[in-house]
Amino acid sequence: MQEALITIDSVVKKFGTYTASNNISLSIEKGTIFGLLGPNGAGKTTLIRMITNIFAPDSGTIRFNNQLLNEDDKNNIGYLPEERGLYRKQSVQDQIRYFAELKGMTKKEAFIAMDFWLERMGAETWKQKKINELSKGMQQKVQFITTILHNPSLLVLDEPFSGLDPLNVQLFIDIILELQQQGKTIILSTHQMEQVEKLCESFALINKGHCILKGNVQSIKKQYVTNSFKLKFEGDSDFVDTIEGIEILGKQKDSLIVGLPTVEKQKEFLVKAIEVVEIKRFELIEPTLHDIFIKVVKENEFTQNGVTE
Amino acid sequence: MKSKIFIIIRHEFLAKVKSKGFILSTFLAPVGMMMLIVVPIVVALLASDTTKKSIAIVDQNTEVSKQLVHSDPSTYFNSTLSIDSLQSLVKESKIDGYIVIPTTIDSLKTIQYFSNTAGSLTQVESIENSLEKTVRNVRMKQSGIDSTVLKDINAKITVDVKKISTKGIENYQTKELAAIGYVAGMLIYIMILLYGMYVSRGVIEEKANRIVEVMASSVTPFQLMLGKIIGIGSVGLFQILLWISMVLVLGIVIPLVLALIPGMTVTPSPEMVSALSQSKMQGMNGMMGATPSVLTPSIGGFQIPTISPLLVFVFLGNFVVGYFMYSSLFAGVGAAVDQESDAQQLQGPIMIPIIIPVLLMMNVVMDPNGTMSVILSLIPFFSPTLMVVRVAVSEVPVWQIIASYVGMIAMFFVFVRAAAKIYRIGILMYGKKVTLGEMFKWIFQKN
Repeated sequence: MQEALITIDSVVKKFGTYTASNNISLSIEKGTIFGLLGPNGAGKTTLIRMITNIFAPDSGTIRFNNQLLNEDDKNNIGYLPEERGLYRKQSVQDQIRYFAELKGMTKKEAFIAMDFWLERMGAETWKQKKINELSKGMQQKVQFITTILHNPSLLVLDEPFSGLDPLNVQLFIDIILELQQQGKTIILSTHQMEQVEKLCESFALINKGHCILKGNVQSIKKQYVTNSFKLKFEGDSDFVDTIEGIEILGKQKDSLIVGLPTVEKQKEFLVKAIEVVEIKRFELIEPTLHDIFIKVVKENEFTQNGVTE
Repeated sequence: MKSKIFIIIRHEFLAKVKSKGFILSTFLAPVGMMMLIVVPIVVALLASDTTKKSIAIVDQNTEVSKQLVHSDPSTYFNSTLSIDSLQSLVKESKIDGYIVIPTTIDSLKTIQYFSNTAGSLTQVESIENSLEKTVRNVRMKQSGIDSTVLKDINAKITVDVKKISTKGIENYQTKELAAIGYVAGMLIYIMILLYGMYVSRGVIEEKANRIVEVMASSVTPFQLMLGKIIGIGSVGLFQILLWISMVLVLGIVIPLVLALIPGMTVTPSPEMVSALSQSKMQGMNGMMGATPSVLTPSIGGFQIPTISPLLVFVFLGNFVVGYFMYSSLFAGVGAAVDQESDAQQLQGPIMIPIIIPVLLMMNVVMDPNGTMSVILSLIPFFSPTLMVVRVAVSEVPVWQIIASYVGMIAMFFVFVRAAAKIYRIGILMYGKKVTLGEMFKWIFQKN
C-alpha cells in the first residue's frame, strides 16, 4: 500500500444546526486520482474547503503529508472551485501572476510557468486580453492554469470539465493524467461518472454529510455485481413469461434484461431461449458507478428516513 | 517569503490607481470644488444683473427721489409722466414698476409699488432697504443733523479679531478659518464614506465573481480583508497627497504668473509680495518648509488663511484612522451580502455615525471649544470629522487630539475583530439574506 497524502480522520463540520460533514474519515494515496462523488448538497464542497484549508473542521483532523494541515500547505494545493472566479477587468497575464504570487511564486517563476501553460493550452496570444473578452471555455482554461501553475502536489478539481467542448475535455484529461504521472495527487469532484470510472483508482461517495461508500473503483464494482443478464435476440420474447422464479427487469423488441439468481435459473433461461429465439448476445451486466451511486444513495435515503421517522 | 498581504495590497492599489475612475476623480474633484465655490458667486452676479429693475419714481418730495436715484441710478429714475401713462408703460413691460412718494414723509409707513409682476421677495426687500435708508437720511437732515454727522452715524463697524498667542498678537481670520474647517470636515467625511464604500463594493465584487474561494485557498480570510482595506485606503491617501501637492503647486504658480504679467488689474498687495518671496524661498528649501504661511493672496477680499502643518497632519491622520475604523465595518457588510443592492440596508447603521457629524459640523465651527464640541469630537465615531474641524478653526489642546486618536484606534481594533468574524463566515455564504441580528451572532460565535 502506498503512502497517504491526505488523511482525514473523524471530521465534523457544522453550520448552525446543520451538519455538513458528519464524522468523515478518508485516506487519499499519493500519486492517485481520487473521485469525490455525491448528490448536490451532500457536503462535498464543505469537505473540499476543509481539505484546501479554507476553513477548519469543528472536530477531527486532516493530515497533509503526515503533518496536520496548516496555512503553509496552501502553497502546495491547487484548487479549482466549481464556481469559477476571475477578476473580469484584468488581463490574463496580471490575473495569472497575481494568483501565482499568492501561492508563493516569484514574478519570474510565474512568468516562465505561465508561458509554458499558455502555450500548452494554445492560448499564447491571450496574455494581454481582459478576462471579460474571453469565452467561457477560454476563461475555464485560464482558471485551470491558475490552479496548476505553482506546481502543487495536491490538485482539487471541482467539476473541471463542465462547459468544455469534447476536444478541450480531452486536453484537460491529458494534462491531469500527465500531472498524475509526475506524482501529483488529484481529487476529482464531479457528477460525470464515466470520467471517474475512467480516471480514478478510488473514490468516496458522500451523502447528507456522511461518507456512505469508499474504496477502490474496481473492487467496489465487483461488490455490486448483480445477477442481471442481458439477452439480445431475434424472435418472440414471450417465452420468458413461462419461466418461474426469474425477474424481468427490462423488455424490448430485441432485448431482455432479466435477473437470474442461481446458476440453475441461468441454464433454464438459456435453454428455453435457444429453443425459441435466435440469440445474438448474452452477457452479465456489470454495474456502472452510476448505478451504484443511485442504488447506494437511495438505500441510504431509505435507512435514514427509517431512522428519523 | 514575500508577505502575501503585501501582494494583496499592491494588487488592490494598482488596480484602483490605474482605473479611469481614479484618474478622473483626482483631476475633476478639485475642478468640482472650484465650481462649488465659483458657481454661486457667478450666479449671484448674473442674477443681480438680470433682475436689474427700472423703476420710475413719481415724487412730490424731491429730496427723497434725488437721494434714491443717487443711491442706485441703474434701478431708479425720476419720472414726470402721469400715473396713467406709467400704468400703460408697466403693462407694456417697458418699465418694471413705479413708486409714488408723497409730499410729506413725516409719518410715512407704507409706500405702494406698482408692478406687472408680483415681484420677488428679494426685489421687494431691496426696494424696502433703499427706501428706508433714504427716508431715514432725509428725516434726519430735516430735523437738522449735519451731513458729516450723518456720515459718522451711518459708518459701518467691522470686528477685527486678534489672537493673542505665544507668537504675539496675530490676525485671526475667523470667517476664513471657518470656511477652511468646514471644507476640511466635509472632505474627510466624503473621503471616508467614499473609500469605505469602495471596500464594500470590492468585497462584494470578489464574492459575486466567486474569486473569493480561490483567494481563500491561498491566503487567510483575515489577510484578504486587511489587504483589501489597506490597499484601497492607500489609494485614498495617495489621492489626498496628490491634491495637497496640486494646491501647493498652484499656490506657488498662480501668484508667480500674476506677478509676471504686467498691467494686471490685480496688483499684488504688500503681504502677497512678501508671501511670494517667502514661497520662493520655501520652494528652494524643499516645498514643505517649516514656515507654514504658504500664501496669502486675496481674492475678492477673501484672504486665504495660512494652513498650519498641524491641520495637515491631523487631516491625514484622521483620514487614515477614521477610514480604518469604518472600512472594516464596510468590509464586514460587503461579505455578508451577495450583491450590491442588498448591501444598502445593512450599510445604513454604519452610515449614520458617519453622517451625524456633518449635521453637527456647523455648531462645532461656531463654537469650536465649547463643552459640546469637545465632547462630540472625542466620541470615536465622530472624531474623524469633528476633530479636523476643531483643529482647523481653533487651537485644540494636544491632549484632546491624542485622546481622540486613542479612542479611534481602540474602536478600530474592536471593529476589525468583529468585521473579521463576519467576513470569514460571510464570504463563503451564498443565497441567504443575512440580517443584522445574524451578523451579531457571528461576531459573538466562538470560533
